[in-house]
Amino acid sequence: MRFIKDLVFDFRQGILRSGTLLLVPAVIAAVTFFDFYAKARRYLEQGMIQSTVDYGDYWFYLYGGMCEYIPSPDNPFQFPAVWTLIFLVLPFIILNYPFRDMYGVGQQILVRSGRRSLWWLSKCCWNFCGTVLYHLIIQAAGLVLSLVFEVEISNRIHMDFINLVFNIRYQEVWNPSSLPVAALLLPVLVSAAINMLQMTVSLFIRPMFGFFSVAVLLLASAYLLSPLLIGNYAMAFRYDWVLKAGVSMEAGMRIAVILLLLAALTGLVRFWLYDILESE
Amino acid sequence: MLKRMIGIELRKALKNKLFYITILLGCSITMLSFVNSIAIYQNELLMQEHSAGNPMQALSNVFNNWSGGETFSLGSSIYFFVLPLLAAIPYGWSYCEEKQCGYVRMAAARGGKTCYYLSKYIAVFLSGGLGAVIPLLFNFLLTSLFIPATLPTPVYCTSNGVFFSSLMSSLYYTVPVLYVLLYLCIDFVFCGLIACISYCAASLVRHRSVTVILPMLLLLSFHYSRQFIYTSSTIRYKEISPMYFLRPVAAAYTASWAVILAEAAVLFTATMVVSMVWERKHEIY
Amino acid sequence: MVQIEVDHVTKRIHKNTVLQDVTAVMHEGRIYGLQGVNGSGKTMLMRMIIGLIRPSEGRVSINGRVLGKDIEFPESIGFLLENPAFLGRYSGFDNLNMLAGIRRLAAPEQIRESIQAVGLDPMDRKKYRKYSLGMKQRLGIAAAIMEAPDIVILDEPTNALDEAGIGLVKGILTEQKQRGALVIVSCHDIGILKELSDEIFRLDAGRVVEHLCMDSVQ
Repeated sequence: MRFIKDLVFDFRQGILRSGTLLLVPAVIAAVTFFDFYAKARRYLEQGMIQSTVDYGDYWFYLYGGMCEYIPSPDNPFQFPAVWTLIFLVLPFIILNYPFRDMYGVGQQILVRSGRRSLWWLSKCCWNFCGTVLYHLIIQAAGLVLSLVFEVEISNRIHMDFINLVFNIRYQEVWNPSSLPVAALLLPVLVSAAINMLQMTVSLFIRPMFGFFSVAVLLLASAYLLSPLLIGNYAMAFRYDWVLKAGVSMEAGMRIAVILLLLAALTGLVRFWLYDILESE
Repeated sequence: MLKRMIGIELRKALKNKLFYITILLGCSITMLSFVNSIAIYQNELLMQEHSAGNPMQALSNVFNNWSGGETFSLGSSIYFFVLPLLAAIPYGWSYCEEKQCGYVRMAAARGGKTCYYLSKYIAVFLSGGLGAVIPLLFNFLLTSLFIPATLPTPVYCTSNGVFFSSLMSSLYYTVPVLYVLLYLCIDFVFCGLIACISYCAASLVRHRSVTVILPMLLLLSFHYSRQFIYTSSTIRYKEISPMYFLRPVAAAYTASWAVILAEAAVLFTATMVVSMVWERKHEIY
Repeated sequence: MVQIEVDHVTKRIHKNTVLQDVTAVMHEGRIYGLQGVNGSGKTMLMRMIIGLIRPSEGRVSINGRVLGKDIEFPESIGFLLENPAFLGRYSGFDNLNMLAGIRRLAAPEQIRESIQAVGLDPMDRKKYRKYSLGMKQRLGIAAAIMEAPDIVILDEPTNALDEAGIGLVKGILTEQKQRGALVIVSCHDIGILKELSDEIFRLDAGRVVEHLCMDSVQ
């Protein structure tokens, strides 16, 4: 019962009253949609693509990430700006909320929750739901804009557009025409796992270094196509369903869930022993 | 009084655990690049040993193997990506902290607001610049212990990443050490200004981690805005994003003095106005 | 010779009037007590005299020089306002040393003496963030007196202090007065104020509702 109360409190304070969490994804969706739409129109006018784009292409534009990077002196590494912005802004938005309860008036809230484990589990749920909501808002805003700009709402993707946008040079790709459901869910799950990891890591080191680690992890994932770097599972372009040498979506689901649970469990143990001294 | 306050602020900025951690982190990241460069160089030496052809000795030198001189290693990619964080972490959060705990009123009442805000600005600027540049300098010096400082040649411009239209390209191919030093100065100044964004963010934000991270997200958003500007594949644009033009070797488009100086001027003006005019005008509670 | 003149000062913050037509003249070598309930304007008045806030109407002058016009802050002032404000990652001595370094009016020896005078150990290397509330309060008082300023302002100096600490504060206030400083102190305990002060201003809703001269009362 108390856990439900904590959860409701966190939802109210950490999600419904968080203007940043509600507004920023909408702004990101709007800006990226205009960017996507302008590009698609330009390519169509120049005859570089054969047909108009669909909502699936927009989704891919957001979550595609980048193709495999092959290091060489004449191929400088350029990180995927859209993907990085989407996956790095959210850890920033949710960075401080859990730690507000550890100093000042927040301690009153913490003590009233009764048990540290319940408090932490409530925060984990808030973190997960906040992540899902963030991505949902991006998608919803994208859908609304698609309707307004008469972009067809379907899960079809057009590889000619994708190849242009992602600047495919010599990677071997399949030629899929639609997005599978798993591909829609996996980036959100991975995002939740990364945010949970950040929240747990911030119990060991300062939150700013927790964010630093996430930034390094995301960039390293963009740089290196490896099943060991979780960020790869958040890049639709690197799934084996698109890229022949890509990562397995099923493995990605399993790893994301394991990481999510492991982070939550580690945080639970750590917080149970944590001295709340207002040192940060 | 100003001199004394600057001295006090500098001591706080540079004799500070977060400054040391930043240097350590930065050096660790550049070590990744160093290890990669050494491995490539040794491989080239092995190939030259067993090859009867042109040894291409000018191909590999310290100037295209140090962290700032190449754009394809994991270490250098990570370093220049987190550069805004490395600039802000040492001391960018200090005004936020001092505002929250009330220390501002103690210092300002003794030294005056102008002295306090100006000395804080200078300390944040210097700590940000040093935090970003010291690891690069360390990497350059370390790499030069293992890889010779052969004069780069334009014949291998694709390996160097510095072309005819690149910023200070003639300097790179004549006095490359000066090129490196000048670019480190550009990085120093820009990273100092990035740290000052963090300082100014305290006018709006109450949490110091947020003030430290905000410059990075602002730069990332500005970097994204390139999508709206670089729309033609035939035009030779100039690089506008500091996340790319702070690299001594171009990752996408070439840098230009006009863009660098203009952006630095805008940053300087904005941060000065916020700290020395806006914040100074407000009463201290 | 130190004189503070608060001349028909009114202060409005947003739509709240926190000080209303306050007038007071204060001289060196005396202790002025500010008394009133929470929110009566004592701390705001102190902030005004320190120069941290400017009056909406009226003026505050120190030795004839108007604050906010001729001078930004009083030239020789030490204060403890609300909660002590120091940097958690430094020790007590280091915090005071940094502040003293701004004007260089207090040598390290004087800083150690003032820390000792408030009952703390000047050689203690413990970080400020590990201090108890009482220790923080004492350090705040030490910071206010270490430079032997002409004006000493202490806002609720007895907060969080034990009996010994309160005794120390009384001794410090008397000492400052004997030195010739102009002391302004606020306190909830009217007994302490009556014991120590030469004049007491009672504030209510930002106004001075009573001005007691303890010399004439006695």
